[in-house]
Amino acid sequence: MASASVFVYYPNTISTAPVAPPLILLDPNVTGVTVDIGPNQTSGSAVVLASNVADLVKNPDFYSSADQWYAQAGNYISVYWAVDSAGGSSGGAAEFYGSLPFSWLSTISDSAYVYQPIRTPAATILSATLTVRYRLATLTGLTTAYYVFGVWDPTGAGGWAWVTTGQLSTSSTYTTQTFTVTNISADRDYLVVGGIVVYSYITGGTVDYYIDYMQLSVQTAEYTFSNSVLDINVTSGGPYYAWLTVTGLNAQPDLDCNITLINWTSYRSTPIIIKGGSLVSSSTSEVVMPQPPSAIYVSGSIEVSMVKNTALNSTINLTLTYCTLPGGEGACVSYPITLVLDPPPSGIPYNSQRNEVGGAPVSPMPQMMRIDPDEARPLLEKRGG
Amino acid sequence: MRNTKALLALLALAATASIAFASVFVYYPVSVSVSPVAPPIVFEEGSNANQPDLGGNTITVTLGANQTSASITVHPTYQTTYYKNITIINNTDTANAYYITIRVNTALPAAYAGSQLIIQTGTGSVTVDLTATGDTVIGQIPAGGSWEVDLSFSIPEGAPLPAPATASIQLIYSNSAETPP
Repeated sequence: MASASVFVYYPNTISTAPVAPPLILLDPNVTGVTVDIGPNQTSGSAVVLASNVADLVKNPDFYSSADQWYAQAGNYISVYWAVDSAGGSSGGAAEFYGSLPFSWLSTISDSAYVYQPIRTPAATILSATLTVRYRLATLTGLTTAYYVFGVWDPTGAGGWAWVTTGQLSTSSTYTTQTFTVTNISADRDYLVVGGIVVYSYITGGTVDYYIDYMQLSVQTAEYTFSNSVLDINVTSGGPYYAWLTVTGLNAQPDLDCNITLINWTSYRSTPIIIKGGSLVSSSTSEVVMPQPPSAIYVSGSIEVSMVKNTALNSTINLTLTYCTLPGGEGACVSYPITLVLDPPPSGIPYNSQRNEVGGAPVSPMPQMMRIDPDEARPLLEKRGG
Repeated sequence: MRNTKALLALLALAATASIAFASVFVYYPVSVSVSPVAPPIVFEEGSNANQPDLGGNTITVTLGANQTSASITVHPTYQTTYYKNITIINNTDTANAYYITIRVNTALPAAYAGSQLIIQTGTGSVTVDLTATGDTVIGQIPAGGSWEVDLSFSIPEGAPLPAPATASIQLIYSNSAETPP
């Protein structure tokens, strides 16, 4: 009896009901990036062409949405995404519309802005330009209006790194201007800002102003890239908690590269760091990826900021992991991602055509132009929508 | 006289046959006492049981009334979906270790190739292929020990999502290392 064998059987079932991928990869349509997405949008590769000219603003022309842009409305002026067919805007535009009230023997002022977070390349910046396209469609009463374009430094209490203003006149067509931007540093976070300041004396008045395009371009001493290489969108459930991990690296010794996850609220992970071709940090921190608001098309993106001196390829294999709970808990899914970092032939920037028009900088009016991201609305309303 | 001899021969044959076919029954008293005990091995919910699954679903884990059965429903997607610590195998017997075997009676279809049940034994992990029937010896769960159960599913990109499916498995435990019948 001591050697008797007793076997007990417990029944179990494991049922699976597969679902469509709730988080998918998308092509960000960024200049200098060639993207190949898998058939179910659960894998992706991107060939990234570094350049000595980098365009830092995403969706610069507001073409089909206000994706990537944020708005800060004024007391009377609201900010919308709209199609300005009368003015001939290219696709959509950011519209600033509102009426300042009558005020007996006094001046009323108001301002409103759109802005986008950007990060400058981690390379010596030789020059920078801001190209804008705008139109003042309507201005009534004893009212004057000024355009405001600038680069806001969010460090500490915040302040303008560079700003320009100029008086506006009503026009049936758009004006394109390119300003020389100064006083911005490498490898820093900034906000690219465009807006309007309006003063009305006694009568009040209505203002209708459009910004159709804003692009901040920098020329660097080395070949660089700093932008999204893949977009991420949550299509069902969530939020999900995502991070990137390096699973393979074949890097040239001249490669300095940071890879970061960022969500639509501009929350950034700590980066994967490659320095001198060697891995310094092999994974990002965790970033929450919620479904985006209706006016924003993506939940987040994978950003690459790199510097290379030679035209030699480097390949990085990554895994994007997302889970239904923080800390790697719940259901976790892994997608394979491949990045090929490949500068173009020496001396050929991919975006070198710029016409310097030059601006007429006006003394800044900081009391009117403070940007507080905490008070900003994360998207532009669609006027009449 | 000749008839008498024949009759006697037939009677002798009949008597012999009746002795050869006789049934004899002998009865020994045997007592079988059944004394059920609480199950020493039980399932418990893991930390991710009934937590959010993909696409707004729930990782459903339902345990039997006496924690001697478990029913799990999950919602994987393309690529690799991993479910960590879904259930726990708990040895409530603090005096005895038991040998654990997982038997897959009904496997998942081939479209789920690479799908695994993974048991974390504390000193390593043992995987069970959920797309093939058969037994996998997990090892000996120590007295008072507990093991975590994970699930991993691989659905290759480019093919339609597989139809929902169910794998039927048995957890077999024994005081013996013998192969379970």
